[in-house]
Amino acid sequence: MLFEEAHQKVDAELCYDVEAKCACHSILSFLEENPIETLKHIHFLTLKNKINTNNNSLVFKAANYLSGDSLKILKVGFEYIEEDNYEEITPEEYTEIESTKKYYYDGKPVLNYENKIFIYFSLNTASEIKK
Amino acid sequence: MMLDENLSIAQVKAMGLVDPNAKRFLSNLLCSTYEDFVALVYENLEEAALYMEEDAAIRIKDGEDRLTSDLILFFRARGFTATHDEKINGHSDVVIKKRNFMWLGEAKIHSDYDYLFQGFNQLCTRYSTGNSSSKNGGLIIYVRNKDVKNVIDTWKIRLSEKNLEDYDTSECEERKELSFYSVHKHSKSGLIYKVKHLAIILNFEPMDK
Repeated sequence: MLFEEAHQKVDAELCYDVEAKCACHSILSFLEENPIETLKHIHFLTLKNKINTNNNSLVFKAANYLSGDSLKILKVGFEYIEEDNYEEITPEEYTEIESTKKYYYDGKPVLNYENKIFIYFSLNTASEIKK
Repeated sequence: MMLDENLSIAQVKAMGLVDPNAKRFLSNLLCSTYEDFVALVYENLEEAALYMEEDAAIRIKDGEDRLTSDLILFFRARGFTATHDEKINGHSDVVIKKRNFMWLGEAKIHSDYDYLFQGFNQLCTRYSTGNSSSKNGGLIIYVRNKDVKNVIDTWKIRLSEKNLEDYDTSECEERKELSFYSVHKHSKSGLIYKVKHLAIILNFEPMDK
């Protein structure tokens, strides 16, 4: 899919929600204008800044749509960060963590893991989107 | 809420307590079982119904296809794969997918109960397979009559008179009296198939002028 098509899809599918539509266009433009190498780790705050909003709810709405089945242009990643400890967690691994309510790092249980596991976004290169 | 650059799961969950969009984002992300998927479909279906009901006046001349297109758009905006008239053993009105899970819906503008039963049969005997990743479906009833509760109550009675095998009904907690669930033995799979019957109020006859 070309970015142009992605913008058109946003126009068609978010036609009843002008705010969400504009937010998604802003994020798509950000993704389009930056090299792929710089889009492997995008923070929530970055998306918020690109949308130019103070409204976290709007960012979630846009992120939900862009990472959803319809467009699948954003991928959501999970990472454990605690002082010097770091580990990438796949979505499948995180689902398991959610169901067992346990997370282990280096064989040891991590207390209050929900405060130490963070989400981030990346361009979904599997979506084969082209500039 | 002030955020650091990194957004933790705990923060998303805290925001989700007050912000439906944050909650929805996390629910979609963590949807991994068929039951999770169906719960999400029903949550969004109920919200779609409220959304359509808020503006019944503009939908007054819409046919079934037009009304259902609005429903489909609502689901797509929420990040689902949603199609209208997709060929699944015929042309199912509403097809909602996520990963390998699928939910089918049949949508009818209420005119009489035989017509609703026709829709129910299309869903249960033509389009759906009733297998383990498609054992829930829906009958969406657009009602332009007054007294939608009466339509649903009567429909429930009429359906119970059809003597479907292993038939039972249960209440819908979220949309009480305007929605209910039925279960029966699916003729193809032999498994229990659960149908959500959901009425959408599209009456618009103001009496103030």
